Amino acid sequence: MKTQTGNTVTIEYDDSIVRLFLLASLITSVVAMLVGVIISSQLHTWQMNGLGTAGLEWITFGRLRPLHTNAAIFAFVGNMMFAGVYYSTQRLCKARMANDVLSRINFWGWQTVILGAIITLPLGLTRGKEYAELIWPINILVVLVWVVFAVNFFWTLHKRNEPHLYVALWFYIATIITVAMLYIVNHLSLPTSLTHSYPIFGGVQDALVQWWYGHNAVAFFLTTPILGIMYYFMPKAAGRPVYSYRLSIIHFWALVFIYIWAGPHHLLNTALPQWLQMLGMLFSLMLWAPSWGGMLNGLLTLRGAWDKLRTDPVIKFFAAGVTFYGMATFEGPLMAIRSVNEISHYTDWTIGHVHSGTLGWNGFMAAGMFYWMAPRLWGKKDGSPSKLWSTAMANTHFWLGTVGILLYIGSMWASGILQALMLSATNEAGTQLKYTDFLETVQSILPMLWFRTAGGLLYLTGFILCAINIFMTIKNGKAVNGTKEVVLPEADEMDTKAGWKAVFRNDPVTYSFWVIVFLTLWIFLPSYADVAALAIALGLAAQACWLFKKRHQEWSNLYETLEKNWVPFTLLVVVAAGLGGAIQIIPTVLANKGATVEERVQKLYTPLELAGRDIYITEGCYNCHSQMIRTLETDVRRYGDWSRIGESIYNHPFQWGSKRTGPDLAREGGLRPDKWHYDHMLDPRAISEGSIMPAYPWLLKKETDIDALPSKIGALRDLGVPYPALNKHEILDSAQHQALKIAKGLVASNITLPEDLDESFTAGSISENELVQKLAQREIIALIAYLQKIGAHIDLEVDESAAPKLLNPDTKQQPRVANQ
Amino acid sequence: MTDPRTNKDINKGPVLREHTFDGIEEYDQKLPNWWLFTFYIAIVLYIVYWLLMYSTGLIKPDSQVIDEHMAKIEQVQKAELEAMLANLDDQTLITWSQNGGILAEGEEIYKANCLACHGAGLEGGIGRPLNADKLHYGNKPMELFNIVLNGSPADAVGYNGQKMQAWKQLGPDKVAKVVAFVASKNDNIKE
Repeated sequence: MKTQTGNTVTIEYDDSIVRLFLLASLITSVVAMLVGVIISSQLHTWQMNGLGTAGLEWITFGRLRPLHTNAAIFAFVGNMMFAGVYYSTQRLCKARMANDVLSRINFWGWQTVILGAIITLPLGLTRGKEYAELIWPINILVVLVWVVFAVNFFWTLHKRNEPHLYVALWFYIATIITVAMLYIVNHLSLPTSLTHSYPIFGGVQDALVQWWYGHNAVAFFLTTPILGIMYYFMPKAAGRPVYSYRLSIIHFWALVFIYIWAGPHHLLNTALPQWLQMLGMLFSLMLWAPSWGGMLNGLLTLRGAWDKLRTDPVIKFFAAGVTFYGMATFEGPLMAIRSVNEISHYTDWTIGHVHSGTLGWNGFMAAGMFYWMAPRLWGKKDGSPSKLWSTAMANTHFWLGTVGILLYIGSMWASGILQALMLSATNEAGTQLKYTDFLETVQSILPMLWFRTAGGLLYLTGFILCAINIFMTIKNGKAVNGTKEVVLPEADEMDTKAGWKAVFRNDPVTYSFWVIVFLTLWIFLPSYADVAALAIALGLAAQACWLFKKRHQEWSNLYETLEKNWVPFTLLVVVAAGLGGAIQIIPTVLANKGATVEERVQKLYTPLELAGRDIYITEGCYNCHSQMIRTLETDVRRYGDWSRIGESIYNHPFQWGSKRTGPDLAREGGLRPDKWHYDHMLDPRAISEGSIMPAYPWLLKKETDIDALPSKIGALRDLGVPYPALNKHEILDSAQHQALKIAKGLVASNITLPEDLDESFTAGSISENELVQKLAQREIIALIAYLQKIGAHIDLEVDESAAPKLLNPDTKQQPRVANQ
Repeated sequence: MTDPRTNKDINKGPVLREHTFDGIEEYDQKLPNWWLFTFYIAIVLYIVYWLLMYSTGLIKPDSQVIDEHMAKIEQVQKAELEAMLANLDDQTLITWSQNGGILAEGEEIYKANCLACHGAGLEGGIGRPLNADKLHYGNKPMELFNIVLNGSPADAVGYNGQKMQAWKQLGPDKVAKVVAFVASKNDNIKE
């Protein structure tokens, strides 16, 4: 694919892989958004969960919501990101991708993952962790495909004909490295069967790891690659130089280092140790400026090209996309303030926030990129760029999308804030909640939920227009591969060996390293020693600033050297992105275990309850119900005493939840009669008039998979849950015994059986005893057993005289008050 | 402003860097001051807040804050209940059960919270029938009041094994009103 004459070569870029990813992204965008509109409609019209039937298990909100999020993130943005990376990397490296076969494995492997998700998620095969629902065999495939992508990318960097790495490539490097790290750690699981596994972390550990992953999936899957794409396509489309090189350096490294620490802001006011909450909040605030650095470098690049905003849909989408990025990254730190989070967490505000990022930033950057690329990838017969089929249609897409986003986020602000205020409102004397029934608050936000669906529908329509526009452009054009005549660089310009030493043994790296070491010691060292560590860190920082002023040129040259050496550059990214997670997760894993928790420890689930818990996870109940009473008046008044760390310590995966579409369930166990749950699961509206929860009639038809229990309990034992050694018979006997007891109670209280149940089952045709026997095998019984166990715990004695612990900075504070 | 193409001094204005990438040019220019200060302020805030939290003891841990706060609320609730109980007896509840305004309120509370288990006509279901001649926990209004407020006694076996939850979160006033409503529907509930 390259012809050489002297020291110049003509390179033909592999643009067919870009075309594949672009088409895949367009198709999956429509799928992801369509599922989004469907699940949005399910929230105001519960009948959409069954499409007219009493209930259809594959399409309930709990099963489709993971499909929507996974499709939007990994299918739509994933494919778009690959298209952008493959297109720009080749041009920025002046080299064809290193290996065409690896590129194809990347493409088809990724589409296989997407197909796997579309099949498994509606079937209820899930790991029960948000954006990490896919089952373990698919996880392995994802990792393999990602490694193929990484090898292909870094190999291309190695073979590049351009000594300098442009800023877009820095962002791609950070993406590849960090996503691999996050994905692998958060997907570590112990399989119990081909389709089921338990995450190796439990309770608070799992919560921390999950949101380290969840938050940074936003950072390194939805943000950094798109920033790289912005840095390539925006100046190209505007024909203007990038606003500031040094701003790109500062905001890149600040973003990569700081982002990782902010994960705990998803767990504010929960049972997560307070020092982690503080880090989550404060690092989120520090993240504001670095995020806006990216926005500034994007928007200010348009200086001198603002006139194009009126005529060129590409610039319109980019400018609006970057503006939404700025809005979302301002809103994010705001929501990470613990008192604001009291309102935004568990309500629609968070949903609105994430959609201003995904619809505004990701969706609009994708659209801009598609419109820019399509006429170039499918050009005229002579190979020059063709024209977009219809500019008017692209403009219509822009306005439909913008109005759609504003409707979406506006209604979610209104809904989230209204519901939070209603939930915390009390009577005048302050003695009781004003709205004791959670459902009242749900009823009052229903109009906003309709507006959200309308907004989503507009946005989806816009993307359908985009797809039509691109397909027509393709039809009128011819697939063209870009070519480039490249002057080969001299060998000594490339990846110089001298770079290694220069890169690691120099002032900026040395000072950064020691400042971070001492700041870390400040967190963990005992009182007084910690302040000394802070003083040293600040002293070193001041010295570094002084040196920077003095040796400004030298430091600049160093960075230029770093830019020319991709291996040391990548290693520095590994360190910068790895630190925050390591400093938060390692102490938590070591210090917060079932064996060391204080105050309370969870009672272990019986085998039947465990089976019920897996049904709870399969049905995706965690998508709407939290199990975490925050240390906030509004939560304690409504749900009872705040949740302690030990109460969920053996939960693999944790079930703290992230949204309360329904009420919290942390103290649900034992609160209501079994029959209440039975009636409620079969027809929520028979119990709670106006409820928006789907009905779950199949729970009465499907049998509980108790045969899987021995291997599940064995796996949990291996993970450190202190189950006694039970043999298979003991486990099955226990499950059957408990199930019979619950079934007997239900039959005694005259339950009604749905008419469409299998014939042999209807009351009257079989004896009461037979009915109990049959009922006991059904999933509903196991689920009730689990629901009645949630929150069960043992009180422990509190050792008030305990000395501060190194790995738990909270012990530096005054001793915790004992549980009254 | 100097021409970025010839300018070499960043203090005088933007410098256009020599290097281009696939035709993309880059300016080098100073970082906006407001941007820098936003960053600095956030860093200072981090240090100050952390010191307040872990070195001065000026900020109490969450667990202590919430426990103290809820203890205060519980005191007010307790006082309210005591004040209410001082004036509440079977006679009052029976009088209330003939008061149209209270009954309308009581009916709403019943529908929202009780109907699911005790039925639209008090005929029972998950929970016991409330239209019976003889109520399980006694026919006096105050006996009913206590059961609703505190739930089934701890040692109760329940109705077909199903026990009632406590309805403290409604507050004594609403509980009294709903009892008045039930009493108005069942003549056997009397002093």
